[in-house]
Amino acid sequence: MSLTTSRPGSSIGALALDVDDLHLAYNVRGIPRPVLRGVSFHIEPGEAYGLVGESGCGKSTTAYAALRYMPRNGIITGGTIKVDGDDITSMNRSQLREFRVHKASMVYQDPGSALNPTIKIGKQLIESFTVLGQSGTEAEKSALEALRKVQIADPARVMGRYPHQLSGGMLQRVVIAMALACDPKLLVLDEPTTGLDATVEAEVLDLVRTLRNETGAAILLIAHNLGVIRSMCDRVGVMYAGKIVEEGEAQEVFDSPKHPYTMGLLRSLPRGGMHKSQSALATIPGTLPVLGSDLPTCVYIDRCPLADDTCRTVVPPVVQVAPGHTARCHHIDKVSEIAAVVPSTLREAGTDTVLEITGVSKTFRQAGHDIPALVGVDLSLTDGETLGLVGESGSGKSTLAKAILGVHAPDAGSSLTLDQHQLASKINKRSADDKRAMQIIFQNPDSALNASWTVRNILLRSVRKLTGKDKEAANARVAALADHLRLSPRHLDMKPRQLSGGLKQRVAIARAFAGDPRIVVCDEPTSALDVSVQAAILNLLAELQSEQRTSYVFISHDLGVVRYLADRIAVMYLGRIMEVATTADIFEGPNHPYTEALLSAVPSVDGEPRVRIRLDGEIPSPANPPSGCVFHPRCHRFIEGVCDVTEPPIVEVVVGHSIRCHIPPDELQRLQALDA
Amino acid sequence: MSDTATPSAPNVLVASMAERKTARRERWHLLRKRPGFIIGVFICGFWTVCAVLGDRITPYDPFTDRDGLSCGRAPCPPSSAHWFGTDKIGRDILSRVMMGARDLLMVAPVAAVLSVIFGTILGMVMGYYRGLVDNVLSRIVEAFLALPVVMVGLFILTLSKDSAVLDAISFGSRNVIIIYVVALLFTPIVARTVRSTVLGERDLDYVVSARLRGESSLFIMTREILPNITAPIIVELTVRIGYSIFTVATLSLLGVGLQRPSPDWGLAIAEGRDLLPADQWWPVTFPALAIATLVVGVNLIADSIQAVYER
Repeated sequence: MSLTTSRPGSSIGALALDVDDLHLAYNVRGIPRPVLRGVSFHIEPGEAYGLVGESGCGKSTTAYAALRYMPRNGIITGGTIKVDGDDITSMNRSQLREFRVHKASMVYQDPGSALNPTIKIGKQLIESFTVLGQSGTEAEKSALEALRKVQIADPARVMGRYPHQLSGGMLQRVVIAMALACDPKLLVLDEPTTGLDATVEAEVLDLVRTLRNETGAAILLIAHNLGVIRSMCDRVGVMYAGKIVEEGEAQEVFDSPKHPYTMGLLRSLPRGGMHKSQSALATIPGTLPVLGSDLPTCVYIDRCPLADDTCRTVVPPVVQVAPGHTARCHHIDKVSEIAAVVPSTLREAGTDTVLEITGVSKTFRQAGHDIPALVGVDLSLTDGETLGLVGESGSGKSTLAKAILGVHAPDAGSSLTLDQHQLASKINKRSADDKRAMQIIFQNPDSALNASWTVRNILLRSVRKLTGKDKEAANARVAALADHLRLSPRHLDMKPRQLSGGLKQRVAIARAFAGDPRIVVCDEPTSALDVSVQAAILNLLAELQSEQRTSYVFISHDLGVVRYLADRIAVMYLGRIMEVATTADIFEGPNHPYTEALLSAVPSVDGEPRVRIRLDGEIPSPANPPSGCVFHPRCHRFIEGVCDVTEPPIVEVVVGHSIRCHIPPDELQRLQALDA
Repeated sequence: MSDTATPSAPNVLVASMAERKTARRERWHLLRKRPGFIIGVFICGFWTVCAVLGDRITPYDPFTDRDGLSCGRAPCPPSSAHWFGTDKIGRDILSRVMMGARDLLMVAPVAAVLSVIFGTILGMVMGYYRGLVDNVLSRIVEAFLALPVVMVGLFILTLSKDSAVLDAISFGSRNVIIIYVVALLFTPIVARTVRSTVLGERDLDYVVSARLRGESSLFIMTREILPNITAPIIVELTVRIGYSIFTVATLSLLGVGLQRPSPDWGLAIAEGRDLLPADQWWPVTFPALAIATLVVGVNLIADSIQAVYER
């Protein structure tokens, strides 16, 4: 092993990762298309480094390149990658294998596909120790120890399980245990918590933090969630179109960004208690350049509000802003000019009740067992109001939305009234007007739009079917809709797959609004999108609502987004509403203990310190709900003999703020103030 | 990297449109690059030419023994005059093998297309409605699948010889009856494939969205789902054509398929079978090889299409 000369300030020994002027291209139909255009950064031993940027900016390519994992058409066209002093760009196959066994590991986004579904956890984990040369019994001992290290309560039992028998959070722990088997110098984490609930995410991140201190492994973390990066990383690199445009200490970069792109990303996030009534979100116009396009000077030039002739003709220098904080821009002194607030001109929610649901339950039958997915839900919605629905996956949010829409008919005894008249429970029994009144925007526009239809046909069919207009009038309406949602006429003749994610979601929104709906259910409409696109979609939804007085049921796991858009928030757990209040009251408290835990789990990009409340275990199966209060097994304020025996009453804290808990609101407030 | 450059704002849209267009051509492009596909097309192309032109390109008249006794007595072994030899009544085997492609290539693909049409309808109904409809139809389909294809074919075709009803719906043509039988035999298999594809598709959000705007089930099945499952249906069709050729040939061999004096390959094997013990191998071997090449050719195409579609 060779030792590189250490950089000024670093301790003796090699850097954990040293990427120097890395150029990488993907060969598409014989033509190399550059993806990384001179990426340079380093990670000190034991340091955590984050890479952020929109999808397609090259951050995952960089992460995989750090272990020289590349797709078959990927070629390194220049530069070096050194891990712990070894140049991995020049290694042959067997050296590379040896290197991956001993020096570096990777944790992937989806733990479910990272493990072999047909092999027991134990066997897979033991394998990662036997490749290190341990004997069978040694390896088994090490595996048990590794599971204990990742805080799995009953390692022996987990060893005998198959991957599908464990939850996402548990699987990710197992994957982390495997990654740490070789005591790596470098651990690459590619969106390790993206598919997980906020509560589970918080636990996994806590674990990674603890393990990092224990093992001293350096970490390269890829995440699109800037809050995760801020809470985990010492330093951060902001990538755009295959280049690192800004780099520095995480706190400093996020608090005083110096590159227009970083500024744009941060400003498009709803943060610091921002609400739609105060200001619109900032957006970054345009899209990332197409793979392999020619970008001779500044890579960000096409979308930058500060771009001028200098930017077009001269390659921007790497400017040192502060010690260790650099930005690749001509105009770092002007960046703060971008930060003007966009004032909001939205109308407030009205007071006329549009939808009233009382005692809505939904019981699925599976293999002869009743599975109550919704239990006695009462909610109401006024005109132009947004009701946020939050809760972990499995809490019944989507089932409630589908029950309201009539996709799943609710149980007998449930009552839904729209504008004072009773709604039929099933969609095909509802009148044309009722169908028109309620529409949905789905999470994933890829499956929500029929891939074999053109955008025009998708919109036209909805307009004709929902409004009964004749062909000519419908065509005019489609044109107007497209114009309103800023879709250009040529988009109308494209198929969905020819559009970007943001445009697809606009088409889905246009379709939902085809018949002037009264209520639109938004089921995580922005969670598949980049933050800059998310901002544009959220602005659009807010504008449409203000113009048309549409009410939204807004389902999201991102509390920042809900806080920005919602007027009221309902917190669901195991098919029941645990707390409902105005957005301000939810964030003010006092809260149901479950809400309290949810709020504390969110990593914030603003980095304000908060007390983390850990939720133990998983959300229980609705087929077999706990006695008394369904939340009691995981509750940190559990009172024995009360919570596990009787169901809690619904207590009203102030008008419109009710909590389903045995502990009186005053007492909750006192306890929560003590913890804060 | 250069220091100066002209501002070239790449038109993202045009570029991506061009990209998509290439992507659409890519399947064809990929197909053409597969040697299996080329060989398959070549083989099938050859037999199609034979079937279409028939006795206009055969060296001898396939139906008479005019020149068949060149060696003195029938059957003659392969010679320079009769490359594949002659059969026991002196007809030129090469001419008969070339001509034999005609009936088979009329019957087998039509049967396959019909089975795919019926199977798609049945499979869509099963997959879309699920529940009771699916349960009942699935059991019937499974019962059908449990019967050996050739047995059922034999049974129906034997009975059909004196059925007035079958006579009426087949316009008195034996070939049409065979088409019906083979289509019927393959329908359940196609239905099962289509059913599983529809099951994967019917819960996607675009179907929910169609229901929310009040579309009928028929519209959702034919206009929303069907265009999205054409790829597996096309794959199924190519695979079925291969099996269908084989089945028609088998039925002819057993004497219930195409009838004399058709130069059909299966029939030719049946007729030449009793010459084998006398070491007169050519009347059987060449038609058998013809069946083999055609089936292999079709399957090469089918495999290539499958590989490209399911890439």
